Amino acid sequence: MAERLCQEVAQFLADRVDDQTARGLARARIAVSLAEGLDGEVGGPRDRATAAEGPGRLSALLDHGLPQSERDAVVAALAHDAMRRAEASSAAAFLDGINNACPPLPAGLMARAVDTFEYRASPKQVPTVCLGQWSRSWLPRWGLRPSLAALVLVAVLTPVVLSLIWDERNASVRDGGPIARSLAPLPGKGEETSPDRSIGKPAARSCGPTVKAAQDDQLAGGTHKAETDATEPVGGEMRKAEERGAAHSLDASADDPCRTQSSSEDGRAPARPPAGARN
Amino acid sequence: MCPQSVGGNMWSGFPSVRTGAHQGTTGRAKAWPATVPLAEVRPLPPADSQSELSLVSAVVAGDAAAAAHFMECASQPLWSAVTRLEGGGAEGEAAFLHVVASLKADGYGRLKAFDGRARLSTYLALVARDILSERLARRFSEAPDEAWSRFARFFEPDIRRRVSRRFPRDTARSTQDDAYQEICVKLIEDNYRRIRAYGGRGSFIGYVLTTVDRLLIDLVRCDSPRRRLPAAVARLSVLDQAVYAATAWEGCPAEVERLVARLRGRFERDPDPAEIGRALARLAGVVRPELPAQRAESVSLETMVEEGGGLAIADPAPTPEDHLLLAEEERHRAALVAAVRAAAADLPAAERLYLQTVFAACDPPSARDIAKLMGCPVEEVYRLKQRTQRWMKKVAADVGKQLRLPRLRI
Repeated sequence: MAERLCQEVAQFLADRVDDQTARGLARARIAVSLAEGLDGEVGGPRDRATAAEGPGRLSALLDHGLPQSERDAVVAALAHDAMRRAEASSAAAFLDGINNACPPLPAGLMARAVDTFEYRASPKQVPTVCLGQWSRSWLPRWGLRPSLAALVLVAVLTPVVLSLIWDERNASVRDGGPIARSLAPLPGKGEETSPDRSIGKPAARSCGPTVKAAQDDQLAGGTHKAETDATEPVGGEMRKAEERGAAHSLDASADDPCRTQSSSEDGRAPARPPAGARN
Repeated sequence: MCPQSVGGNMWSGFPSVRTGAHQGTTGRAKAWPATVPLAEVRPLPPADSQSELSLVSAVVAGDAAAAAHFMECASQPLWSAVTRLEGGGAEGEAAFLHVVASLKADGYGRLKAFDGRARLSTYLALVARDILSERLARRFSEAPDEAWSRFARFFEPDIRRRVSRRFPRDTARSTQDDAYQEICVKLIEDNYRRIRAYGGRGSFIGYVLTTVDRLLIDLVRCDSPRRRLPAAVARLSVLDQAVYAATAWEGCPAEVERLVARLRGRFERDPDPAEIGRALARLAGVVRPELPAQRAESVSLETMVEEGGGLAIADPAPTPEDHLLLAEEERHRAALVAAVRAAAADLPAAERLYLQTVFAACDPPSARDIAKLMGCPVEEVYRLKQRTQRWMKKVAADVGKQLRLPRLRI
C-alpha cells in the first residue's frame, strides 16, 4: 500500500496524464492529501486592510505589474492564506471568462450610468447646483404654484398701488391742502413738476448715495452726449435711450426731494466734468 | 466578438495603444484612452497605464467631462463583468448601476486605489466583482432564502470549475453534477450554516470558495476508496484493469463492442475486440459477477409496498475486508500529510504556492496558467517545477522510511 502511495506521488510529479479512471482517482486522492499537507499550519483569514490586498494589488499581480519585491510579498501572502489563494484563482478564471464574453449594453443604460456617475460638486463649491436641485425638488409640487403666483403679484402691485396713493396725496397738496409730512423741502409749484406725473408714472426715488451717483452719471452722460454726438457713430436706439435718460434725469432731478440745494435753486444740472474727463 | 475588440479580447484593455484627445471643461486637450482595445500585450505599456491613470485622476479630481468619458469607456467592460456574475435583464441593470454608484461613493474612493500598475479594465472587473460579492454577503445575512438563487448564480461557475478540477478529466458529467449538487446541499444545510459563518474578515468570495474546497476534499476522500481496484484485479494487466473500471464503475455493459468504443483513445494503441474479449474472460475468473447488473435494477417503492417489502436492497456499507483496507489507506494518507506538512514548514513561499497550485487540481494546470496566477514568467514556473520535484522526492523518501518500504521507485 505504501509503495503504491509513493508510486502515485511519482506519477503525479511525472506530469503524465493517465486517462484510466482508477489512476485518475488515485491522482485525485493524492492531490488532495498533498494539498492538505501543504496548507499546513497557515494563518486564518486576514483583514484586507492589513494585508493591503484588495483588487488593486491582485489586479496588478495578474497583469504582471508588480515589482519583484512586492510580488514576493504577495506570493508569500497567497501561500499562507487559503482564502486569498482561492480568491486569486477565482479572479484569474473570472477575467478569463469575461474575456470571451461581450454582451451588448442595454439601450439607455449607458445614459443612466453617466447620470449616476457624473460629478456633482459639494454645496460649498457650487451652490447654484444645489439650488437647482432644491428647486427641482419642490417645484413639482403643484399646490405651491398658486401661492407663489399670488406672492409675486403682490410684490409687483404693491409699489404701483403705493405710488398711486402717493400721487393722490400730492394731488391733494397741489389742490391746496397744507400737508407737509416730508422732511425734504417740498417741490415748487405745479409748473416744476414733471409732465409725466399726469400719466401716473412713478419716478423712482432714493436718497441713497448709489442712486445719487447713478443719477449724476446719467447727468454727466447727458452732457457728454452733446460732445460725442457728432463724432461717435452711436446707434440710433442707444442714442435715443440716452436722450430719454438724460431728459428724464433732468426732470427727475428737478423733482427730486433729495436733490442738492444748488441744483434745486436754478433748476439745472450742476456743472460737472464729462465722465471721460473724470476718469 | 465585441464591437470594441479588434484582433484581441476586450479585457486586453479599453486602455489602448491609441489615445483620444478629449476636450475638457476648461478647454485644454487631454490624452485619455480611446475605447478600442487591441491585442493582449503584457506587461502593460507605460503610455497606456499613464493615460488610464490620468483619466482616473481627472475623475477623482472632479472633472465632469472626464467622468463622462470614463463611463463611456468603462460601461461595456463593467457590463460584461456584471452579467457574468448577476445575469442580464432588470437585475443585471440594477446590479450594474449599483456598481457605478459604488465606484462614485466616498468621493470615488474605489477609483483612488487605482495606481496604474494594472490595466484599468482588469482593476474595474475585480472591483465590480468585489462590490457585488459584498452586496451578496449583505443580502445573505438579511434573508438567506431569498439570496440563495443569487448566490448560486454568482458562484456556480467557480464551484463547477473546482469540481471538474478535483475529479479526473474522464469523470462522467453526471458524477460532476452529483458532486456539484452535493456541495450545494452542504452549503444549504442547517440554514446555510457554513455560509453564515462568514465573519466579515477577508473576502466573501475567498471564504466561500475555501469552504467549497474543503467540501470537495471530503468528497474525493469518500469517493476514491470505494473505487479502489480489488487486489486480484490490481495484479492484472492495465487493459484488464481498464475493462474492470469501465464495467464496474462506469456502468458500461460487459459487451465487447461497447467496451471497444468505451476504451477508444485511452491507450497509445486501441485494443482490438479479441484482446478485450480475453480481458473479460480473465476478469470473470478472478472476480465475481460484476456490479453493473445489480446496480441497473431499479426498484419501485410502490412495488415494495404492494409485495410487502420482500425485495432486498444491497447494503452499501463496506465489508470487513474493506474496513481493513480503508484503515490502512487512511494511515498511509495521514503519514503522507504529516510528512508534507513538516517538510513544507521551510519551503520558500514561491515553491509552496507553486505546489499548492499544482495540487489544487487532479490534473496539473499548464505552466502558462500557473505563471498567470503567480504573476511571473513561464520560465520561472519551469524552474519552480524542477526544484519542487526534488523536494517531493525527498518527501516521498521520508514517507518510505517511515512506512519501512524496501525501496522507492521515484
